[in-house]
Amino acid sequence: MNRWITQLRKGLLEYLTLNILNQKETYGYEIIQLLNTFESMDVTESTVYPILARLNKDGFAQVRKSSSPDGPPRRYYSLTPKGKARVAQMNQYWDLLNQTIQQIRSKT
Amino acid sequence: MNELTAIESRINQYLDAVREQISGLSPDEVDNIIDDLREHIDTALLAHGEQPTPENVEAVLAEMDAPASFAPDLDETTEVVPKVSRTAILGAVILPLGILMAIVTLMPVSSATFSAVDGVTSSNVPESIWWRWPLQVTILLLGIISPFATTILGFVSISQIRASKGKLIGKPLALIDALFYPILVFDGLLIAFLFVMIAAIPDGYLALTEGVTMLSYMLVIIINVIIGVIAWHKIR
Repeated sequence: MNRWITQLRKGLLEYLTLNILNQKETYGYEIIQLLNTFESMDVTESTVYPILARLNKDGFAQVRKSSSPDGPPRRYYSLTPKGKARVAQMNQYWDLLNQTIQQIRSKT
Repeated sequence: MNELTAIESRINQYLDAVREQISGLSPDEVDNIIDDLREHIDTALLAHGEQPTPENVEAVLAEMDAPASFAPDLDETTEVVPKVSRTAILGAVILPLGILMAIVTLMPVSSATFSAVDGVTSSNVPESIWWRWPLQVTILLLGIISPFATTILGFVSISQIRASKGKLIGKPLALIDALFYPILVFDGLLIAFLFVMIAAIPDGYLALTEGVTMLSYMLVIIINVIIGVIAWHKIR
């Protein structure tokens, strides 16, 4: 794996995790499963769980413990209002970044 | 029972190894990661069969990241909280000592003040006064060092803040440290020059003298502001 791809994925992971949590309340294992359904993403627990812990520490996400009918008790993550504001901000910036990339690529 | 204990022990062994790798994180983060990992292991074990066995546990742990993978890269994971430059703060602490020296040395307290008038000699200096001499000497020494130290610390902190790429803040403070005494000296020279010019005005032109004096003060203030603005734009 090229180093630059690894670095790019690392940078994107927090953004993608926030977007997943913006859509629904979910737990870490499911986030890993979901991200790994995309060929371009190859994530493991050592990358996702520290991000979730950090989001929780920084007040962007909150955890709710709940029993599960088909497995162990789950730790469900959801976004706080601060987290939702961060996602909106990040999405806005991502659109701008994407636009810039497109413009640069079309000129070269 | 022994099998379950062995399974728990193996899982805890893995979790402890991870805990060791992430010990630099906050306790809440460590607990979150460990709890998520425990849930992950339990979920993965269920996928291997209803009842966990030592073999299944080994298979699940083998599929998971090695504990060393959890070691955080602090440069990437920690959002840098900028700190105020300590050098700039030190400069600001030393800065008033020069002014204090000027005030203290101008205080009319000396043995000469007493000796002639009150008959006080060096052998019978009043108790309430004796401590002033060591204090004055200390303040004098610190006061002499203060302008140089403050100015140097100011310039050093400006370069440190600029090189820190956002990790250090406090440019305004650093700028005050760097420019306070040089501007004070410049102002002193400028005022002295202007007073020489004012002194050249013949007697009897009171209104002109007052006007020129007022203009001189305004000129000094304007020059100070211009120097401050230019310096600020240079270091931004």
